[in-house]
Amino acid sequence: MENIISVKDVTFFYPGEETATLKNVSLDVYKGEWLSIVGHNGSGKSTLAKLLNGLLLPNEGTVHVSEFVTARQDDIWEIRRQVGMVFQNPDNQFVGTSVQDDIAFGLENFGVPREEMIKRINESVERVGMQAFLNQEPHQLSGGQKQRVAIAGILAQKPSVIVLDEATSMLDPIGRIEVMETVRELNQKEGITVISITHDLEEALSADRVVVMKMGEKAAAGKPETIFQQRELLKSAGLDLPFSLKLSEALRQEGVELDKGYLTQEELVDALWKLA
Amino acid sequence: MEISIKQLEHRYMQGTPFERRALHDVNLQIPDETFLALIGHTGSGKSTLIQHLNGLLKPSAGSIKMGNTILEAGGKKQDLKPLRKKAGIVFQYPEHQLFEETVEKDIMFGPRNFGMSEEEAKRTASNVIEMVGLPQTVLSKSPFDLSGGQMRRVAIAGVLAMNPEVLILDEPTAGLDPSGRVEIMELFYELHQKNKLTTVLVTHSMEDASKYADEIAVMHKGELYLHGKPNEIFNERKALQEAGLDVPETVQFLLKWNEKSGQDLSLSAFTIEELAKSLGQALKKRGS
Repeated sequence: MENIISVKDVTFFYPGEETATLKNVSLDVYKGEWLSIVGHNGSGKSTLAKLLNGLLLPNEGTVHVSEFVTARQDDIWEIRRQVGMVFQNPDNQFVGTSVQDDIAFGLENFGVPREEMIKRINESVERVGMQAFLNQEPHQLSGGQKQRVAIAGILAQKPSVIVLDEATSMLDPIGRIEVMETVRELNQKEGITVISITHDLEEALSADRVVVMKMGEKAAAGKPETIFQQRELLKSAGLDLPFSLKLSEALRQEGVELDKGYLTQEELVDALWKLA
Repeated sequence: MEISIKQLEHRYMQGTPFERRALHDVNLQIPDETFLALIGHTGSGKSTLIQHLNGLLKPSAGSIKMGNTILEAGGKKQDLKPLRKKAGIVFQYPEHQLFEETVEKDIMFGPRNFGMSEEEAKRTASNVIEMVGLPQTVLSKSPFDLSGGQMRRVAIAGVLAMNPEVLILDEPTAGLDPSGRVEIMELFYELHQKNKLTTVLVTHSMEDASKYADEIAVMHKGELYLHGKPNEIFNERKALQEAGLDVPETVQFLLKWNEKSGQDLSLSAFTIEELAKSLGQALKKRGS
């Protein structure tokens, strides 16, 4: 599979800190995949996210985005255009006075001509289903809607990767679903690579691959089916098991002879039905 | 402390063109020592409601009785200090409110403000830091050198230092990792029981509501939409979905199983263990 991002042997210290926040982390992100990064608070996952588009630069090692390198000054604009970030707090990233101003802001920074700008704004709000809100002010929008505007702002720059840094953690369940469906569509229909940093295990379950961060190191990477069977690993990384796996385990303790732990409710219901 | 809310209405920016009604005709009795989960999606009025519980907001109509204190629309100005000491609020992302040079000073700030002596406030800080599971050495550190999870605990310790009788928690685990979430909720639950508190937990998590709450109140469009024991509330799946909510995962699973098997199982508690037990028994019956 083709890499879109390669993180090689990256170590990172925050200024004045004695211990490294990231220790010798290597990671490949494949083109078009949905990669979830999970880990305890302070495991280094948000720091890792900020290294992916050069908001932070590694003390050791390199971060490549296709043929560009974050440490190279001349590459940084192209990298930031290609790798868009959506942060946790919807209110911290809305800079315009209306939805279209907000999206225009990013484009102005990249020197996009006005005609082209209008075209791209209209296109991108449509892709996140916010066309009816073009002239709305931020306080008229819900958290989920603000996050979708943030995503539209990224889309207008024709990115290849979207990084979600706990982008749904401050939203209510409806806002969460709204944002996740928008991103899933972009991933599946347009092939945009998604890197999602999250505490939501059910979300990580539906990823193509999962990376587990622990104390600044990459503790594991693989398909969710394999990662989520590793109970001890998850526990030691401050994570919980997804619901259906916990239930599978509890059922086995009740003497129900399940052949394995199931990841989704549907699979588990089917497995139980076959036992009955 | 018993809490009694009667015909509570709240209008933001009353008398201006921006006037907006956030609460309407809310009637809610919370008996002493109850653990109440307050649920509803963004904009449903739950944050507005809890801000009335220690007098941060005043009713536009109706009244709130907290123990002996009555807050009512048009009521006389009163000293709210005693109420604020008894009703502690842990706001969302409480770590954003830390401000002192050291953790100890930050925790002591509230008690000192309410007239506790320096020495006693220090003792209190040392007690509560242990309650929230942090070592004594943290007391001399700057709160800003701590991790997010530790800062959250320090902020909570600051509220506990007031030794409140009512604990109001506004999504206290938002943004924490799964094990941190469990630890914090267990901490509150233990305090609730040990200190015989009355607790109001604002949450999006039906799982937490089902695990800890004696009663659940659901807010929707500024009104009290449902109120009852967890099993009563979880029987109202349609109504919950209309308010943008759903039943806990254990109930969702049970409903899927019932549909598939044609059985009619129900749960007495909503934990995974309870669900496994009831499914296990049902399977055995079919097998025999």
